Amino acid sequence: MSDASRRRLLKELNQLQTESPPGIIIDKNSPDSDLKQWRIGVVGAKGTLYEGEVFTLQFTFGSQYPFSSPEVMFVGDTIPAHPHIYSNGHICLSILADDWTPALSVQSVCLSILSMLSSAREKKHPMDDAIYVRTCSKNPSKTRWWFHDDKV
Amino acid sequence: MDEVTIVVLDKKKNVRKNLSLKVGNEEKIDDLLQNVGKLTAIPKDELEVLFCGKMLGRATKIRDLQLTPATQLTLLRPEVCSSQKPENPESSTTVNSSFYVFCKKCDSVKRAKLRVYCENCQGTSILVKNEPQNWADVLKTKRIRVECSSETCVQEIYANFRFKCVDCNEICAALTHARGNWQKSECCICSDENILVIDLGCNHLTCLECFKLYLEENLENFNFKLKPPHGFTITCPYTDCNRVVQDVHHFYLMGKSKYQEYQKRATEKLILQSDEGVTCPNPDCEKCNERDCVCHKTDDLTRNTIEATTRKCPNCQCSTERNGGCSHIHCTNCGYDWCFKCVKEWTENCQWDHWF
Repeated sequence: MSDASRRRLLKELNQLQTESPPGIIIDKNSPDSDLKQWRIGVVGAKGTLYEGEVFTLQFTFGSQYPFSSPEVMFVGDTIPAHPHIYSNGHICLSILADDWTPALSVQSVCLSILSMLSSAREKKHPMDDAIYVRTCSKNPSKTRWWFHDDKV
Repeated sequence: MDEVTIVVLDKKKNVRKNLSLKVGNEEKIDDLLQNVGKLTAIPKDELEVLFCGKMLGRATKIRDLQLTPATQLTLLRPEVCSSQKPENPESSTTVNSSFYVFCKKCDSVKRAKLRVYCENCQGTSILVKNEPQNWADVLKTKRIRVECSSETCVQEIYANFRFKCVDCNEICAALTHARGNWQKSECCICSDENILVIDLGCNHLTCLECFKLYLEENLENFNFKLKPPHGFTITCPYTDCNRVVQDVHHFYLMGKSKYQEYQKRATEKLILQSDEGVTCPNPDCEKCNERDCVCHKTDDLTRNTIEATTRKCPNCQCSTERNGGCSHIHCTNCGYDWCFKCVKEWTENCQWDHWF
């Protein structure tokens, strides 16, 4: 991990530990010493389908962070049933792929995922869940969620 | 001590004299006038110094003018001595500002000095009638009027502005988005407070190093979008900020060779978007300039397969294959967001009902 990546992650961690926004739980001992992998708890907001439920997000940072997006997925025993979340924990969210910008942060990703949970109308996994989970790469950022061909 | 060229325009006697004079950096304009007075027998109070389109104050320090041996200072002795009292000898003129350029000779970002010339004779013996107020005033022509001391120039004439690298004097394109971080704000990427930042006009500051890395990351997948009249450009790294880099010279921050790569890929993309070219799998093929080259042929079988397996982007008609993932298509050709199911613009309803 580059020096710049490390410094930025330390700043983010420090900020999250001192003033984490409602619904985001950060364990003091969570990131390993090289800061490469973090686990963060998110709590379903009041008045939504996931009210009070706690899920765990796993962030994995590459050496190019924040210029390249972190790999973010749900881990643990309870994966939220949601039309944009596969049962293996992979999340279909544009800011984790093409819409990532280096000004986004761990906190803004957590908040986006919380708001995605909050706006769900129905608790179910995506329709192609079975196929996807069987065939996808272990790393969700290797999945290309949108597909295009150049003009042929 | 540096030697500078001094042109004395004596309008009273209608003579012009060229002098070469050594001036110390710590001297003031007043000292210079005294020395010139000794050489020309013109009382120093009758002389005015024209530089950068301004009349210089007597207390202006020579060092602040960033003179080089190529600089020419004009000393003017008006026909009628101005009725006003000679200017307060304590007043000094600022000609220094914080401008930044990409200097191709130094191959890096440099501080720059702004110089002004007569658009007609290119001379520096001019006075601007009004100070430039914004970037457009200096970047566009015919915005700032000047009075030129040259006999050949007419009264109604305009200024030409140039930015020069302070280190090597090379004329450079100004980086209009680069500025000093005078508020000591944090970079929106690394949160450090660096001295030099890029601000696209939205006050979201990115330090130079982060902006360079941001550009390089985007060059890799060519995420530059066509935004007329700026060409292929990029948005502010701040989330959801739509401000764009308005002058492609900023892409020189990546260095000359990556800038060339940017130009090449932007050109290719423009040709593809305007439907005037084909993507050739074999660009070195000599026959490719001929119409009957195999690269240009699409047989029926290929065409049928493409038609059967793709849908066209409703905005740019680009054939698009969905080989997995959700129905939300973000067209990499034109940037349109559409629904593969509806073949229409992606809507809130598609978001929930046509996900897969």
